[in-house]
Amino acid sequence: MKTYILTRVILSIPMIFILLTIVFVVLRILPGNPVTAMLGPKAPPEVVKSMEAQLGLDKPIIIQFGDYIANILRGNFGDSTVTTLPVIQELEERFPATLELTIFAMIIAVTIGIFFGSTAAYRYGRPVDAIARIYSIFVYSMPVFWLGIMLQLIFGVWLKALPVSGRASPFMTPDNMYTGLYTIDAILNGQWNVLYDSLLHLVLPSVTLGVVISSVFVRMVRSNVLLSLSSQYVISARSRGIKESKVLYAHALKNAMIPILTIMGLQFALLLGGAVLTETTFSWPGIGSYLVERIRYRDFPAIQGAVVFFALFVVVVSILIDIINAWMDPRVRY
Amino acid sequence: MISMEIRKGIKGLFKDSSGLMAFIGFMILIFYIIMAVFAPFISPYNPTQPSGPSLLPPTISHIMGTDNLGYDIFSRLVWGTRMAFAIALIATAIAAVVGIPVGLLVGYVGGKTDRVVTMIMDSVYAFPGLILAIAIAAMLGPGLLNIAFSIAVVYIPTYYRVIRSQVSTVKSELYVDGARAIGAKSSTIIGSYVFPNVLPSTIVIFSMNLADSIMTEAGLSFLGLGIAPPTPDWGYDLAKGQQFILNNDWWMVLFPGIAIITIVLGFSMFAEGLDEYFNPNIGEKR
Repeated sequence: MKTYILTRVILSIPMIFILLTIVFVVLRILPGNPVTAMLGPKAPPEVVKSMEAQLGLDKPIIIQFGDYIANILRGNFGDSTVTTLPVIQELEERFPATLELTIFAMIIAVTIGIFFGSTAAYRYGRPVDAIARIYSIFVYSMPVFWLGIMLQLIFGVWLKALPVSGRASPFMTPDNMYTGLYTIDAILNGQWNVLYDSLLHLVLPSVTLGVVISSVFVRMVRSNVLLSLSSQYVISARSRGIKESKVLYAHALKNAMIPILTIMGLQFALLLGGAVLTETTFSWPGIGSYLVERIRYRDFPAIQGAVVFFALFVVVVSILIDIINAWMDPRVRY
Repeated sequence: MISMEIRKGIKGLFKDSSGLMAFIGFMILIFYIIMAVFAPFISPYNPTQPSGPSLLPPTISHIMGTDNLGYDIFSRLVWGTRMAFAIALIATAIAAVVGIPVGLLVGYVGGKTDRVVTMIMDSVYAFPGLILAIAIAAMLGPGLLNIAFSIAVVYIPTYYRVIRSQVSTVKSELYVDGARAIGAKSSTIIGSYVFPNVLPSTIVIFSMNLADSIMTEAGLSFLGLGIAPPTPDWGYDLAKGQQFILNNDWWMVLFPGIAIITIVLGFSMFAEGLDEYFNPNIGEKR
């Protein structure tokens, strides 16, 4: 297992390098110089010059690339031109919000996927199955921000049942921060009202994102469970008189989980794209809304930092998923 | 890829009636194409001029209501179809023009080039597409071509992957060996033997990518990275509508959203039907 983890991490180094290069190419080499993007086209040339020098953009492109990689390896993402704070510090502050949102969205998506998908497979060709398939088609062609706005309208405006923006009500943040995840910190502090408040704020954003992602899971779970329901071990389990619910959940579903886990990893990039839109829709103070905010201010170091961060996040999650996969299924290990 | 998922879902739903599915998709598309082409005749008002009181709920004279500036929502929706098609078509065309030749060439050459290019393409593919498009759009600034280019970059790997994998199968077919045996040049082999055999898949991906591009464009303009207002654009109209939902002005968000959903469904269903038509056997493999 140790060798597997080590190999997997080493194998992802070229991937990280390529991703960082892509970000560099997009932000530095494509037409649209960051300095003119920041200062606007009418800025006086000497101001542009000094800004270029400040950001190191007057150096040859290869040197710039070296500096860029070296700085990222040192965890130095530069200083924001809006707040003058180090970008890495701002990202650290914002990250827990994104993490909390994506975790809850993932839980919702997987829950819907497992129950809906396995029921559809079990009742293959029946109305439930048809509904599951129609659900996944429609939900997937829905823009995530549109679903978010509609839920805000229904639950926030018409029913007045749930908050439509932010992570917490005023003065309802955990006293001591350990993880930065409000729900976890509230539990650790024993502040149950804070926990309740942060869960209320989480409902709409995480349901929005979770539902949109869930369609993939419904389809994946359905086809994988269908496959394992027709396998020998299910037939033998049935012939031994094992309860149907146990056949479905303990035998068929369990074996269908491994491909599902792989898909979870692949869907993560999509989830992050959706998170940017969801965070913007719900004014959720995560890295996605940070990116969008800073684009409006043309804060180049912050934009670069956030994009690099997302790229690294995807790589880390894909490594984690592979490790979990190897741990669950010994055949995967080298 | 979004439309890939939709396509698979739709496929299960219609099973053996791919014809019906393609037909429904096609009808939806015809509906929107007519709307785009005849926008000046269909839209009752100028989409960028106030045409009545602001924030008017749907009525007989404004069937989808008006927005905060008194613009007629229905007219904006009709004209927005043009923008959706224009950006999606340009973006998909750029992606195809880059992705297809690279896929053909690399797939045919194989070896080290193949490994390196595939690794780069896979990395772009693994990158969260919308975030990449956001970064590019933010650097390039607003404008139809800039937006289309930002979206195109995200979809180049889609073409590349499919074309490359098909080319690597096709190139070991007997007829390719035959062509090589009679001394055909590599360019001839790629152009006259390999390309025609992978063409059907490119048409399917093209239609699929149109659906994805429309979604991505809506996302970009929702974030304020789209076409400059007041040009009619569904994503932008949704973002503006969101500012007024606390007043319960639901009509500003409901209609553009339905437009996006139905057009995306239309493209996906059409792509699925095409796929069945062109590749009755290999559809499952992808």
